[in-house]
Amino acid sequence: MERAEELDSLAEKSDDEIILQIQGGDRRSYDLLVKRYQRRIYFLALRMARDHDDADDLAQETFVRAYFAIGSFTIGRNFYTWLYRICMNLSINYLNKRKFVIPVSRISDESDPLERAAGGADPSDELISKETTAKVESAIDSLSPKYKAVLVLRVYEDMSYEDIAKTLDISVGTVMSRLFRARQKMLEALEEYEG
Amino acid sequence: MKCERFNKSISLYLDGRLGETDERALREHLSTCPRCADTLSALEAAQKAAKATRAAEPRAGYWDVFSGRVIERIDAEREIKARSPLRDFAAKILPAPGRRLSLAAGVASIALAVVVGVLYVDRQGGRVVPPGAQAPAEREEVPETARDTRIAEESREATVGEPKLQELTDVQKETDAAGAPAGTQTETPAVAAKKDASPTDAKKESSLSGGANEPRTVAIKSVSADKPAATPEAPAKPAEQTKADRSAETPVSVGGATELTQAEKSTETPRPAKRETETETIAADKMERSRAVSFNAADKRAGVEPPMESYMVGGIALQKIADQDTLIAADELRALIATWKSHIEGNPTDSLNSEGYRQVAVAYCLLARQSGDEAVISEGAQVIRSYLGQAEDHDVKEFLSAKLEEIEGLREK
Repeated sequence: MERAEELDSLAEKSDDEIILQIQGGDRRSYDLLVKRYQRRIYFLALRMARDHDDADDLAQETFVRAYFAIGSFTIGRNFYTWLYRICMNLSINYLNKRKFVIPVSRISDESDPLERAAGGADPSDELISKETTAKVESAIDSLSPKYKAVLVLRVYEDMSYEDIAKTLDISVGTVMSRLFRARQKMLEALEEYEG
Repeated sequence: MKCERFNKSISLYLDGRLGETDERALREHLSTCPRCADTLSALEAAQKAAKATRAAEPRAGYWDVFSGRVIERIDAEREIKARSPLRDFAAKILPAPGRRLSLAAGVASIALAVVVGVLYVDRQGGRVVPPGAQAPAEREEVPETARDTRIAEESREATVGEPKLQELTDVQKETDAAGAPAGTQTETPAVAAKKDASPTDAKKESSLSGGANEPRTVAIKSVSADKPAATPEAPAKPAEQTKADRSAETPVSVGGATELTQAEKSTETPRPAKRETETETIAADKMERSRAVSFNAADKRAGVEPPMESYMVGGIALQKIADQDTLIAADELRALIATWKSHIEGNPTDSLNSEGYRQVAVAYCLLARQSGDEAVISEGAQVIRSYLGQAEDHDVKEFLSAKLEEIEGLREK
């Protein structure tokens, strides 16, 4: 009961305050940080892996890694960006290892965890056919992990070049050139699908 | 040619990153170039389509148990870390409950004793005198040879040249801990293997089991920050010194507990036997530094002590092994191989890999020598051969070639 109250009070605290508490030895507070970011990390991993089970594994691993490294986390820096960085690196490594390619047959797979054009915030989204979004998704998936990573962070996460650079530990110039290449390759893949 | 110039601008324009002048130039170009205009509209459409996708929520109740599962995995991993066979062994044999000693410390003290013995024999003009047969006062009277002095001096220089833990900035440490570069990898070797073999089955198992029985790496630290003690920036040393150095850096033995403690203390309270004090101080310095550098705060809080000389691989302090470490248990060697292999696979460009190649090769040779098993020899030879193909550094290649020859030689035997 007391612990529940303690967690409630922690819920109002900033990331840094909670991290300081964890670094001070109260490891149980980590649960709160996990709850705070679990959705964002899971969905980021899902964008990269395109599979629930893999995304689940990547998200779990992200939090496990972060836990063991939190002792050296510098207060004042953005914890969320740090988590993103761990998650993206895990995802890139995972995709590299899997030589990840989404089979074209998956395009019409109803079990795909990404729902297409299912009434997004923008009403004009509904005008975009499922087929089109499926092709675009597939084109993005065909990119090599490093290109896919910049595109996912830019397009889905709406991150600035600077944040992408921090997350992927690359320069802003590299972000620009990777985005350019990623887009070129995506268009080439789309042209291929168009036949 | 003109279009190529604008290709990059189109990408920047989509992200609103184009400067005013460049944007004007692009617009002018687009008005006269239908091909580039098509590219822009295709990209805009594709981006819009991509944004139109929404990720489906996972099954009901998923979020309620997510953090609990993370905590379970963390607990399992801490247990694994704390259950190292070497530490168990050290814990059993040590009289003082609070003081644990890794195998490495013991080896260091034995080697230290051997070096002291060798120097002692030298001073006696080649006459072997049993340890303890001569009082410390007598030893002091023996004049120092030029070689002894050089060893001490060079060792000191090497020590001065090495970076210290305090020099690592917080930023460096954090970056290292985040483990980031597409190099941060690290799935559990078992999970990785499962995925390679059968992704679907592996997924379920890994997410449910939480990897309780699997060695897992956690956060990779960079080589430069982690391992200064292993690669001192000192000039090349003569053969004699290598021997002395090894005594300071190499591991093992039980009785080493007391000697190490003395060596550590010697930095504060100099003892009468000058040469011994110097050698011990150097040894203690090196060990302490190596331990400090490779031991991150998270491990400390988790109550996990790293080996005396180690590499941080995925947040785990992996013992540095050498050919003479024949006492290391087979399962310890296998765990070491698995962790290194997983790191190398996941971080193909990591600069730590060159050490990983060597360590895996040494581990396989030790394992093959212990077991004499044909399967181990074949597996080892295969892995070393593949690393030989991956390694870029000439020295590493040479080392691996020698190891390949060695392990294949075992087969013939």
